[in-house]
Amino acid sequence: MRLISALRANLVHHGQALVSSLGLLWRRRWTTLATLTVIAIALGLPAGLRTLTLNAARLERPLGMNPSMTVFLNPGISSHQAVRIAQRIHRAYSLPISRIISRKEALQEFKKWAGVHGTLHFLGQYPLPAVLVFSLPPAQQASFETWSSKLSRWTGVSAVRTDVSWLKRLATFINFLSRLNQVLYLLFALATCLIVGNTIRLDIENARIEIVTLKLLGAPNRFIRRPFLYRGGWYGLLGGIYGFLILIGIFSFLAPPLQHLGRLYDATFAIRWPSFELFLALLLGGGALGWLGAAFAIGHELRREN
Amino acid sequence: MGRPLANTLNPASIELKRVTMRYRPDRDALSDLSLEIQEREMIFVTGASGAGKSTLLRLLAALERPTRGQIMVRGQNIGQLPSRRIPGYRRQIGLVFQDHRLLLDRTVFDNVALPLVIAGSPRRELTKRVRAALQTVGLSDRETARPMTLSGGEQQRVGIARAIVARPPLVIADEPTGNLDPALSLEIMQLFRRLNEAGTTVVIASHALGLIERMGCRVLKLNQGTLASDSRCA
Repeated sequence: MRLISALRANLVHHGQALVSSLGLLWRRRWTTLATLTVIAIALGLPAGLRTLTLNAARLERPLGMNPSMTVFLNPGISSHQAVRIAQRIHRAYSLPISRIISRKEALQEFKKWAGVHGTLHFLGQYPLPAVLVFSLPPAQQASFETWSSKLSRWTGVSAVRTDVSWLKRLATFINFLSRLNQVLYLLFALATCLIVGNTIRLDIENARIEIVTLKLLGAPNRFIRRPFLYRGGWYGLLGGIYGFLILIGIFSFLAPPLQHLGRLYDATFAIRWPSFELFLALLLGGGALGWLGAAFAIGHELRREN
Repeated sequence: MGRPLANTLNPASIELKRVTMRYRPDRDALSDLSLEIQEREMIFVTGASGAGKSTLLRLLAALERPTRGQIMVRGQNIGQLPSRRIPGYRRQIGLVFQDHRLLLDRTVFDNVALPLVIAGSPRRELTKRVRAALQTVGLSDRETARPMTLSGGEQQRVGIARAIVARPPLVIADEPTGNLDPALSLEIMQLFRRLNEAGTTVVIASHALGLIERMGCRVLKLNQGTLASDSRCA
Protein backbone atom coordinates (compact mmCIF):
# COMPACT_ATOMS: atom_id res chain seq x y z
CA MET A 1 0.00 0.00 0.00
CA ARG A 2 2.84 2.35 0.96
CA LEU A 3 4.64 1.44 -2.25
CA ILE A 4 1.56 2.20 -4.35
CA SER A 5 1.14 5.47 -2.52
CA ALA A 6 4.81 6.38 -3.12
CA LEU A 7 4.54 5.42 -6.78
CA ARG A 8 1.41 7.50 -7.18
CA ALA A 9 3.09 10.46 -5.47
CA ASN A 10 6.08 10.12 -7.78
CA LEU A 11 3.84 9.92 -10.80
CA VAL A 12 1.94 13.01 -9.69
CA HIS A 13 5.18 14.94 -9.21
CA HIS A 14 6.46 13.79 -12.60
CA GLY A 15 3.25 15.10 -14.16
CA GLN A 16 3.51 18.39 -12.28
CA ALA A 17 7.17 18.83 -13.27
CA LEU A 18 6.36 18.01 -16.91
CA VAL A 19 3.56 20.56 -17.16
CA SER A 20 5.09 23.28 -14.97
CA SER A 21 8.40 23.17 -16.88
CA LEU A 22 6.53 23.66 -20.15
CA GLY A 23 4.55 26.49 -18.55
CA LEU A 24 7.79 28.16 -17.48
CA LEU A 25 9.15 28.01 -21.04
CA TRP A 26 5.92 29.62 -22.27
CA ARG A 27 6.10 32.38 -19.65
CA ARG A 28 9.64 33.24 -20.83
CA ARG A 29 8.74 32.70 -24.47
CA TRP A 30 11.14 35.18 -26.09
CA THR A 31 14.15 33.89 -24.19
CA THR A 32 12.95 30.36 -24.89
CA LEU A 33 12.57 31.14 -28.60
CA ALA A 34 16.14 32.45 -28.78
CA THR A 35 17.49 29.32 -27.07
CA LEU A 36 15.35 27.05 -29.24
CA THR A 37 16.62 28.77 -32.40
CA VAL A 38 20.22 28.04 -31.45
CA ILE A 39 19.36 24.42 -30.61
CA ALA A 40 17.35 24.08 -33.85
CA ILE A 41 20.31 25.28 -35.92
CA ALA A 42 22.69 22.96 -34.05
CA LEU A 43 20.40 19.97 -34.65
CA GLY A 44 19.24 20.96 -38.13
CA LEU A 45 22.66 21.55 -39.73
CA PRO A 46 23.98 17.98 -39.60
CA ALA A 47 20.48 16.67 -40.42
CA GLY A 48 20.43 18.91 -43.51
CA LEU A 49 23.85 17.75 -44.61
CA ARG A 50 22.73 14.15 -44.11
CA THR A 51 19.73 14.70 -46.40
CA LEU A 52 21.94 16.35 -49.03
CA THR A 53 24.35 13.41 -48.87
CA LEU A 54 21.48 10.97 -49.38
CA ASN A 55 20.42 12.97 -52.42
CA ALA A 56 23.95 12.86 -53.84
CA ALA A 57 24.08 9.10 -53.23
CA ARG A 58 20.92 8.75 -55.31
CA LEU A 59 22.85 10.20 -58.26
CA GLU A 60 25.58 7.63 -57.87
CA ARG A 61 23.24 4.67 -58.17
CA PRO A 62 21.52 5.14 -61.56
CA LEU A 63 24.73 6.18 -63.27
CA GLY A 64 26.77 3.55 -61.54
CA MET A 65 24.54 0.82 -62.94
CA ASN A 66 25.78 1.34 -66.51
CA PRO A 67 29.40 2.40 -66.51
CA SER A 68 31.06 1.99 -69.89
CA MET A 69 34.48 1.63 -71.47
CA THR A 70 35.44 3.40 -74.69
CA VAL A 71 38.17 1.89 -76.84
CA PHE A 72 39.73 4.30 -79.35
CA LEU A 73 41.27 2.41 -82.30
CA ASN A 74 44.23 3.46 -84.40
CA PRO A 75 43.27 5.87 -87.23
CA GLY A 76 44.16 3.33 -89.93
CA ILE A 77 41.73 0.66 -88.68
CA SER A 78 38.89 -0.05 -91.11
CA SER A 79 35.26 -0.72 -90.13
CA HIS A 80 35.66 -4.49 -90.63
CA GLN A 81 38.81 -4.58 -88.52
CA ALA A 82 36.98 -2.55 -85.85
CA VAL A 83 34.19 -5.14 -85.72
CA ARG A 84 36.71 -7.99 -85.41
CA ILE A 85 38.55 -6.24 -82.58
CA ALA A 86 35.24 -5.66 -80.81
CA GLN A 87 34.35 -9.35 -81.08
CA ARG A 88 37.77 -10.38 -79.78
CA ILE A 89 37.38 -8.09 -76.77
CA HIS A 90 33.89 -9.44 -76.19
CA ARG A 91 35.18 -13.03 -76.24
CA ALA A 92 38.21 -12.25 -74.05
CA TYR A 93 36.39 -10.42 -71.28
CA SER A 94 32.72 -11.31 -71.86
CA LEU A 95 31.93 -7.62 -72.22
CA PRO A 96 28.71 -6.77 -74.03
CA ILE A 97 29.35 -4.55 -77.04
CA SER A 98 27.31 -1.47 -76.55
CA ARG A 99 28.17 0.31 -79.77
CA ILE A 100 30.69 0.33 -82.62
CA ILE A 101 31.20 3.77 -84.08
CA SER A 102 33.03 3.65 -87.39
CA ARG A 103 35.03 6.61 -88.62
CA LYS A 104 32.27 7.38 -91.12
CA GLU A 105 29.56 7.39 -88.44
CA ALA A 106 31.77 9.47 -86.20
CA LEU A 107 32.21 11.97 -88.99
CA GLN A 108 28.44 12.20 -89.56
CA GLU A 109 27.89 12.89 -85.85
CA PHE A 110 30.71 15.36 -85.79
CA LYS A 111 29.23 17.28 -88.70
CA LYS A 112 26.03 17.79 -86.76
CA TRP A 113 27.88 19.97 -84.31
CA ALA A 114 27.38 23.58 -85.23
CA GLY A 115 30.38 25.50 -86.49
CA VAL A 116 32.79 22.62 -87.03
CA HIS A 117 32.13 22.10 -90.74
CA GLY A 118 34.69 24.75 -91.64
CA THR A 119 37.22 23.19 -89.35
CA LEU A 120 36.88 19.82 -91.11
CA HIS A 121 37.38 21.51 -94.45
CA PHE A 122 40.52 23.13 -93.10
CA LEU A 123 41.85 19.80 -91.80
CA GLY A 124 41.18 18.08 -95.15
CA GLN A 125 40.83 14.70 -93.47
CA TYR A 126 38.69 13.55 -90.55
CA PRO A 127 41.18 12.96 -87.73
CA LEU A 128 39.17 10.82 -85.28
CA PRO A 129 39.53 7.00 -85.12
CA ALA A 130 36.80 4.36 -84.95
CA VAL A 131 35.48 3.83 -81.43
CA LEU A 132 34.19 0.76 -79.59
CA VAL A 133 31.90 1.20 -76.58
CA PHE A 134 31.42 -1.64 -74.09
CA SER A 135 29.04 -1.86 -71.16
CA LEU A 136 30.79 -2.66 -67.92
CA PRO A 137 29.17 -4.87 -65.30
CA PRO A 138 29.05 -2.77 -62.06
CA ALA A 139 29.76 -5.87 -59.96
CA GLN A 140 33.22 -6.15 -61.54
CA GLN A 141 34.23 -2.58 -60.95
CA ALA A 142 37.49 -3.71 -59.37
CA SER A 143 38.61 -5.21 -62.74
CA PHE A 144 37.93 -2.12 -64.83
CA GLU A 145 41.42 -0.68 -64.50
CA THR A 146 43.12 -4.00 -65.27
CA TRP A 147 41.03 -4.48 -68.42
CA SER A 148 41.70 -0.94 -69.45
CA SER A 149 45.44 -1.37 -68.97
CA LYS A 150 45.57 -4.69 -70.88
CA LEU A 151 43.41 -3.49 -73.77
CA SER A 152 45.48 -0.37 -74.26
CA ARG A 153 48.39 -2.67 -75.24
CA TRP A 154 46.35 -4.55 -77.88
CA THR A 155 47.32 -4.20 -81.51
CA GLY A 156 45.12 -1.64 -83.23
CA VAL A 157 44.07 -0.01 -79.98
CA SER A 158 45.15 3.58 -79.54
CA ALA A 159 43.66 4.40 -76.13
CA VAL A 160 41.12 3.15 -73.60
CA ARG A 161 38.94 5.31 -71.37
CA THR A 162 36.54 4.20 -68.68
CA ASP A 163 33.92 6.66 -67.52
CA VAL A 164 33.93 5.33 -63.94
CA SER A 165 36.56 7.67 -62.61
CA TRP A 166 34.11 10.49 -61.93
CA LEU A 167 31.78 7.98 -60.28
CA LYS A 168 34.65 6.96 -58.06
CA ARG A 169 35.23 10.60 -57.24
CA LEU A 170 31.54 11.02 -56.45
CA ALA A 171 31.54 7.89 -54.28
CA THR A 172 34.67 9.10 -52.48
CA PHE A 173 33.11 12.53 -52.00
CA ILE A 174 29.91 10.99 -50.65
CA ASN A 175 31.96 8.84 -48.30
CA PHE A 176 33.79 11.95 -47.16
CA LEU A 177 30.48 13.76 -46.65
CA SER A 178 29.15 10.85 -44.60
CA ARG A 179 32.19 10.96 -42.36
CA LEU A 180 32.01 14.73 -42.09
CA ASN A 181 28.39 14.28 -41.19
CA GLN A 182 29.27 11.89 -38.36
CA VAL A 183 31.80 14.36 -37.00
CA LEU A 184 29.25 17.18 -37.26
CA TYR A 185 26.62 15.06 -35.51
CA LEU A 186 29.00 14.54 -32.61
CA LEU A 187 30.07 18.18 -32.43
CA PHE A 188 26.55 19.57 -32.69
CA ALA A 189 25.23 17.00 -30.21
CA LEU A 190 27.87 18.25 -27.79
CA ALA A 191 26.91 21.84 -28.64
CA THR A 192 23.23 21.08 -27.95
CA CYS A 193 24.14 19.53 -24.60
CA LEU A 194 26.21 22.58 -23.70
CA ILE A 195 23.57 25.07 -24.82
CA VAL A 196 20.85 23.34 -22.78
CA GLY A 197 23.25 22.80 -19.88
CA ASN A 198 24.17 26.46 -19.81
CA THR A 199 20.55 27.60 -20.05
CA ILE A 200 19.59 25.25 -17.22
CA ARG A 201 22.59 26.47 -15.22
CA LEU A 202 21.20 30.03 -15.47
CA ASP A 203 17.77 28.73 -14.43
CA ILE A 204 19.41 27.05 -11.44
CA GLU A 205 21.12 30.32 -10.49
CA ASN A 206 17.71 32.02 -10.54
CA ALA A 207 16.21 29.23 -8.44
CA ARG A 208 19.04 28.97 -5.93
CA ILE A 209 16.94 30.18 -2.98
CA GLU A 210 14.20 27.76 -3.92
CA ILE A 211 16.66 24.86 -4.15
CA VAL A 212 18.18 25.63 -0.75
CA THR A 213 14.73 25.99 0.82
CA LEU A 214 13.52 22.72 -0.69
CA LYS A 215 16.61 20.93 0.62
CA LEU A 216 16.02 22.38 4.09
CA LEU A 217 12.46 21.13 3.96
CA GLY A 218 13.66 17.61 3.17
CA ALA A 219 13.32 17.43 -0.60
CA PRO A 220 15.46 14.60 -1.99
CA ASN A 221 17.79 15.39 -4.88
CA ARG A 222 15.56 13.60 -7.38
CA PHE A 223 12.70 15.93 -6.43
CA ILE A 224 14.87 19.01 -7.00
CA ARG A 225 16.38 17.59 -10.18
CA ARG A 226 13.11 16.64 -11.85
CA PRO A 227 11.75 20.02 -13.06
CA PHE A 228 15.15 20.95 -14.51
CA LEU A 229 15.44 17.62 -16.32
CA TYR A 230 12.01 18.08 -17.86
CA ARG A 231 12.91 21.64 -18.82
CA GLY A 232 16.06 20.37 -20.56
CA GLY A 233 14.03 17.65 -22.27
CA TRP A 234 11.53 20.22 -23.53
CA TYR A 235 14.31 22.44 -24.85
CA GLY A 236 15.78 19.53 -26.83
CA LEU A 237 12.42 18.20 -28.01
CA LEU A 238 11.09 21.56 -29.16
CA GLY A 239 14.51 22.43 -30.61
CA GLY A 240 14.33 19.20 -32.65
CA ILE A 241 10.88 20.05 -34.04
CA TYR A 242 11.98 23.60 -34.78
CA GLY A 243 15.16 22.31 -36.46
CA PHE A 244 13.10 19.99 -38.68
CA LEU A 245 10.82 22.86 -39.69
CA ILE A 246 13.85 24.99 -40.55
CA LEU A 247 15.17 22.09 -42.63
CA ILE A 248 11.88 21.78 -44.53
CA GLY A 249 11.97 25.54 -45.16
CA ILE A 250 15.55 25.39 -46.49
CA PHE A 251 14.74 22.38 -48.68
CA SER A 252 11.67 24.10 -50.10
CA PHE A 253 13.93 26.97 -51.09
CA LEU A 254 16.67 24.73 -52.52
CA ALA A 255 14.46 22.09 -54.14
CA PRO A 256 14.05 23.62 -57.65
CA PRO A 257 17.78 24.14 -58.40
CA LEU A 258 18.65 20.83 -56.74
CA GLN A 259 16.07 19.01 -58.83
CA HIS A 260 17.44 20.65 -61.96
CA LEU A 261 21.01 19.73 -61.06
CA GLY A 262 20.04 16.14 -60.36
CA ARG A 263 18.18 15.78 -63.66
CA LEU A 264 21.31 16.87 -65.53
CA TYR A 265 22.84 13.59 -64.40
CA ASP A 266 19.80 11.37 -64.23
CA ALA A 267 16.49 12.09 -65.94
CA THR A 268 14.57 10.16 -63.29
CA PHE A 269 16.16 11.97 -60.37
CA ALA A 270 13.70 13.02 -57.66
CA ILE A 271 14.69 14.90 -54.55
CA ARG A 272 14.68 13.00 -51.30
CA TRP A 273 13.03 15.25 -48.72
CA PRO A 274 13.84 15.14 -45.00
CA SER A 275 12.08 11.96 -43.90
CA PHE A 276 9.74 11.13 -41.04
CA GLU A 277 12.54 8.98 -39.59
CA LEU A 278 14.76 12.06 -39.55
CA PHE A 279 11.97 13.98 -37.81
CA LEU A 280 11.74 11.27 -35.15
CA ALA A 281 15.53 11.19 -34.79
CA LEU A 282 15.64 14.97 -34.29
CA LEU A 283 12.72 14.86 -31.87
CA LEU A 284 13.97 12.01 -29.71
CA GLY A 285 17.67 12.78 -30.12
CA GLY A 286 17.05 16.42 -29.27
CA GLY A 287 14.98 15.46 -26.23
CA ALA A 288 17.64 13.06 -25.00
CA LEU A 289 20.45 15.58 -25.53
CA GLY A 290 18.47 18.28 -23.72
CA TRP A 291 17.78 15.92 -20.83
CA LEU A 292 21.47 14.96 -20.70
CA GLY A 293 22.63 18.60 -20.74
CA ALA A 294 20.21 19.44 -17.93
CA ALA A 295 21.29 16.34 -15.97
CA PHE A 296 24.92 17.49 -16.11
CA ALA A 297 24.03 21.03 -15.02
CA ILE A 298 21.76 20.11 -12.11
CA GLY A 299 23.97 17.19 -11.07
CA HIS A 300 26.96 19.51 -10.84
CA GLU A 301 24.91 22.04 -8.89
CA LEU A 302 23.60 19.51 -6.38
CA ARG A 303 27.06 18.08 -5.80
CA ARG A 304 28.28 21.62 -5.10
CA GLU A 305 25.30 22.26 -2.82
CA ASN A 306 26.01 19.11 -0.81
CA MET B 1 -6.30 32.63 16.75
CA GLY B 2 -8.12 29.81 14.98
CA ARG B 3 -8.95 26.34 16.21
CA PRO B 4 -6.67 24.20 18.43
CA LEU B 5 -3.67 22.56 16.90
CA ALA B 6 -3.94 18.94 15.88
CA ASN B 7 -1.93 16.44 17.89
CA THR B 8 1.34 15.40 16.34
CA LEU B 9 1.86 11.75 15.46
CA ASN B 10 5.09 10.85 17.26
CA PRO B 11 6.52 13.03 20.00
CA ALA B 12 10.28 13.47 19.89
CA SER B 13 12.87 12.85 22.57
CA ILE B 14 16.34 14.19 21.95
CA GLU B 15 19.59 13.28 23.61
CA LEU B 16 23.00 14.82 22.94
CA LYS B 17 25.95 12.77 24.22
CA ARG B 18 29.25 14.64 24.51
CA VAL B 19 28.77 16.49 21.24
CA THR B 20 31.61 18.57 19.88
CA MET B 21 31.37 20.66 16.75
CA ARG B 22 34.55 22.18 15.40
CA TYR B 23 34.62 24.51 12.39
CA ARG B 24 38.13 25.85 13.10
CA PRO B 25 41.02 23.95 14.67
CA ASP B 26 41.52 26.55 17.37
CA ARG B 27 37.91 26.85 18.54
CA ASP B 28 34.95 24.57 19.19
CA ALA B 29 31.50 25.90 18.29
CA LEU B 30 30.12 23.27 20.67
CA SER B 31 32.34 21.54 23.19
CA ASP B 32 31.51 18.21 24.81
CA LEU B 33 27.84 19.15 25.12
CA SER B 34 25.43 16.68 26.70
CA LEU B 35 21.73 17.32 27.26
CA GLU B 36 18.29 15.73 27.03
CA ILE B 37 15.04 17.10 25.72
CA GLN B 38 11.90 15.20 26.65
CA GLU B 39 8.94 14.44 24.46
CA ARG B 40 6.38 17.27 24.20
CA GLU B 41 8.81 19.67 25.86
CA MET B 42 9.26 23.30 24.82
CA ILE B 43 12.71 24.68 25.43
CA PHE B 44 14.56 27.85 24.64
CA VAL B 45 18.24 27.88 23.78
CA THR B 46 19.80 31.19 24.63
CA GLY B 47 23.22 32.78 24.93
CA ALA B 48 25.34 35.51 23.39
CA SER B 49 26.24 35.60 19.70
CA GLY B 50 28.70 32.83 18.96
CA ALA B 51 27.62 30.81 22.02
CA GLY B 52 26.63 27.90 19.78
CA LYS B 53 22.81 28.25 19.60
CA SER B 54 22.56 28.11 15.82
CA THR B 55 25.14 25.32 15.66
CA LEU B 56 23.05 23.24 18.07
CA LEU B 57 19.95 23.80 15.95
CA ARG B 58 21.80 23.03 12.73
CA LEU B 59 22.97 19.75 14.25
CA LEU B 60 19.44 18.88 15.36
CA ALA B 61 18.18 19.59 11.84
CA ALA B 62 20.96 17.41 10.36
CA LEU B 63 22.32 20.37 8.44
CA GLU B 64 25.73 19.55 9.93
CA ARG B 65 27.37 16.44 11.33
CA PRO B 66 29.08 16.68 14.73
CA THR B 67 32.85 16.40 14.89
CA ARG B 68 32.42 14.06 17.89
CA GLY B 69 29.60 12.63 19.96
CA GLN B 70 26.09 11.35 19.33
CA ILE B 71 22.82 13.13 18.64
CA MET B 72 19.96 10.73 19.28
CA VAL B 73 16.53 11.75 18.04
CA ARG B 74 13.84 9.18 18.83
CA GLY B 75 16.58 6.59 19.25
CA GLN B 76 18.23 7.37 15.93
CA ASN B 77 21.77 8.75 15.81
CA ILE B 78 21.29 11.49 13.25
CA GLY B 79 25.01 12.32 13.20
CA GLN B 80 25.58 8.95 11.53
CA LEU B 81 22.66 9.06 9.11
CA PRO B 82 23.65 8.17 5.56
CA SER B 83 23.30 11.19 3.23
CA ARG B 84 20.43 9.56 1.33
CA ARG B 85 18.36 9.32 4.53
CA ILE B 86 18.84 12.91 5.63
CA PRO B 87 16.00 14.34 3.46
CA GLY B 88 13.65 11.76 5.01
CA TYR B 89 14.74 12.82 8.50
CA ARG B 90 14.24 16.51 7.66
CA ARG B 91 10.72 15.77 6.49
CA GLN B 92 9.98 14.61 10.05
CA ILE B 93 10.91 17.94 11.59
CA GLY B 94 9.54 21.43 11.11
CA LEU B 95 12.04 24.22 10.60
CA VAL B 96 11.32 27.89 11.21
CA PHE B 97 13.88 30.48 10.14
CA GLN B 98 14.53 34.03 11.21
CA ASP B 99 14.39 35.18 7.59
CA HIS B 100 11.28 33.03 6.90
CA ARG B 101 12.75 31.54 3.69
CA LEU B 102 9.51 31.88 1.79
CA LEU B 103 9.43 31.52 -1.99
CA LEU B 104 8.39 34.96 -3.20
CA ASP B 105 7.02 33.84 -6.56
CA ARG B 106 4.49 31.50 -4.94
CA THR B 107 1.33 32.16 -3.00
CA VAL B 108 1.00 31.68 0.74
CA PHE B 109 -0.92 28.46 0.06
CA ASP B 110 1.83 27.09 -2.21
CA ASN B 111 4.54 28.00 0.31
CA VAL B 112 2.75 26.26 3.15
CA ALA B 113 2.03 23.26 0.92
CA LEU B 114 5.72 22.66 0.07
CA PRO B 115 6.46 19.96 2.69
CA LEU B 116 3.33 18.06 1.61
CA VAL B 117 4.22 18.39 -2.08
CA ILE B 118 7.67 17.00 -1.28
CA ALA B 119 6.08 14.16 0.69
CA GLY B 120 3.75 13.46 -2.24
CA SER B 121 0.47 13.99 -0.36
CA PRO B 122 -2.69 13.57 -2.40
CA ARG B 123 -4.21 16.87 -3.53
CA ARG B 124 -7.33 16.63 -1.39
CA GLU B 125 -5.40 15.89 1.80
CA LEU B 126 -2.88 18.59 0.94
CA THR B 127 -5.57 21.23 0.59
CA LYS B 128 -7.21 20.16 3.85
CA ARG B 129 -3.96 20.26 5.80
CA VAL B 130 -2.72 23.55 4.35
CA ARG B 131 -6.04 25.23 5.18
CA ALA B 132 -5.89 23.80 8.71
CA ALA B 133 -2.32 25.08 9.19
CA LEU B 134 -3.25 28.50 7.86
CA GLN B 135 -6.25 28.58 10.20
CA THR B 136 -3.95 27.67 13.09
CA VAL B 137 -1.70 30.65 12.42
CA GLY B 138 -4.66 32.91 11.62
CA LEU B 139 -3.97 33.45 7.93
CA SER B 140 -6.94 31.70 6.35
CA ASP B 141 -7.87 34.82 4.45
CA ARG B 142 -4.40 35.28 2.93
CA GLU B 143 -3.87 31.99 1.15
CA THR B 144 -3.76 33.53 -2.33
CA ALA B 145 -1.49 36.42 -1.28
CA ARG B 146 2.18 36.61 -2.23
CA PRO B 147 4.69 36.76 0.66
CA MET B 148 5.89 40.22 -0.41
CA THR B 149 2.46 41.67 0.32
CA LEU B 150 2.52 40.40 3.92
CA SER B 151 3.90 42.06 7.05
CA GLY B 152 6.96 40.60 8.82
CA GLY B 153 4.76 38.95 11.45
CA GLU B 154 2.48 37.46 8.81
CA GLN B 155 5.45 36.14 6.88
CA GLN B 156 6.75 34.47 10.03
CA ARG B 157 3.34 32.93 10.64
CA VAL B 158 3.42 31.54 7.08
CA GLY B 159 6.83 30.08 7.94
CA ILE B 160 5.36 28.45 11.06
CA ALA B 161 2.36 27.14 9.12
CA ARG B 162 4.78 25.57 6.65
CA ALA B 163 6.76 24.02 9.53
CA ILE B 164 3.68 22.41 11.11
CA VAL B 165 1.66 21.49 8.04
CA ALA B 166 3.11 17.96 7.85
CA ARG B 167 2.47 17.56 11.61
CA PRO B 168 6.10 16.87 12.57
CA PRO B 169 6.88 15.63 16.11
CA LEU B 170 9.67 18.21 16.43
CA VAL B 171 9.74 21.89 15.48
CA ILE B 172 13.03 23.77 15.49
CA ALA B 173 12.99 27.56 15.28
CA ASP B 174 16.10 29.71 14.89
CA GLU B 175 15.49 33.26 16.15
CA PRO B 176 11.88 33.24 14.95
CA THR B 177 11.19 36.68 16.44
CA GLY B 178 14.53 38.25 15.53
CA ASN B 179 13.01 40.71 13.06
CA LEU B 180 9.72 41.36 14.83
CA ASP B 181 8.51 44.02 17.27
CA PRO B 182 7.70 42.93 20.88
CA ALA B 183 3.93 42.58 20.34
CA LEU B 184 4.34 40.43 17.24
CA SER B 185 7.12 38.44 18.95
CA LEU B 186 4.79 37.56 21.82
CA GLU B 187 2.10 36.54 19.37
CA ILE B 188 4.54 34.21 17.58
CA MET B 189 5.77 32.72 20.87
CA GLN B 190 2.20 32.06 21.96
CA LEU B 191 1.70 30.25 18.70
CA PHE B 192 4.65 28.00 19.52
CA ARG B 193 3.24 27.49 23.01
CA ARG B 194 -0.08 26.33 21.57
CA LEU B 195 1.77 24.05 19.18
CA ASN B 196 3.62 22.53 22.12
CA GLU B 197 0.42 22.14 24.11
CA ALA B 198 -0.91 20.12 21.20
CA GLY B 199 1.98 17.66 21.67
CA THR B 200 4.84 18.91 19.53
CA THR B 201 8.37 19.14 20.90
CA VAL B 202 9.57 22.69 20.28
CA VAL B 203 13.18 23.91 20.37
CA ILE B 204 13.67 27.65 19.91
CA ALA B 205 16.92 29.59 19.77
CA SER B 206 16.37 33.16 20.88
CA HIS B 207 18.07 36.25 22.25
CA ALA B 208 14.85 37.70 23.62
CA LEU B 209 15.32 37.07 27.34
CA GLY B 210 12.32 39.13 28.41
CA LEU B 211 10.08 37.18 26.11
CA ILE B 212 11.53 33.86 27.22
CA GLU B 213 10.88 34.71 30.86
CA ARG B 214 7.24 35.41 30.05
CA MET B 215 6.86 32.00 28.40
CA GLY B 216 7.91 30.13 31.54
CA CYS B 217 9.71 27.26 29.78
CA ARG B 218 12.95 25.37 30.23
CA VAL B 219 15.92 27.48 29.16
CA LEU B 220 19.31 26.14 28.09
CA LYS B 221 21.95 28.83 28.25
CA LEU B 222 25.02 28.26 26.15
CA ASN B 223 28.34 29.99 26.63
CA GLN B 224 31.24 29.45 24.24
CA GLY B 225 29.88 26.11 23.11
CA THR B 226 29.21 24.69 26.55
CA LEU B 227 26.08 24.45 28.64
CA ALA B 228 26.28 27.34 31.12
CA SER B 229 22.89 26.69 32.75
CA ASP B 230 19.77 24.56 32.40
CA SER B 231 16.91 26.23 34.21
CA ARG B 232 13.20 26.85 34.11
CA CYS B 233 11.73 30.33 34.13
CA ALA B 234 9.08 30.98 36.69
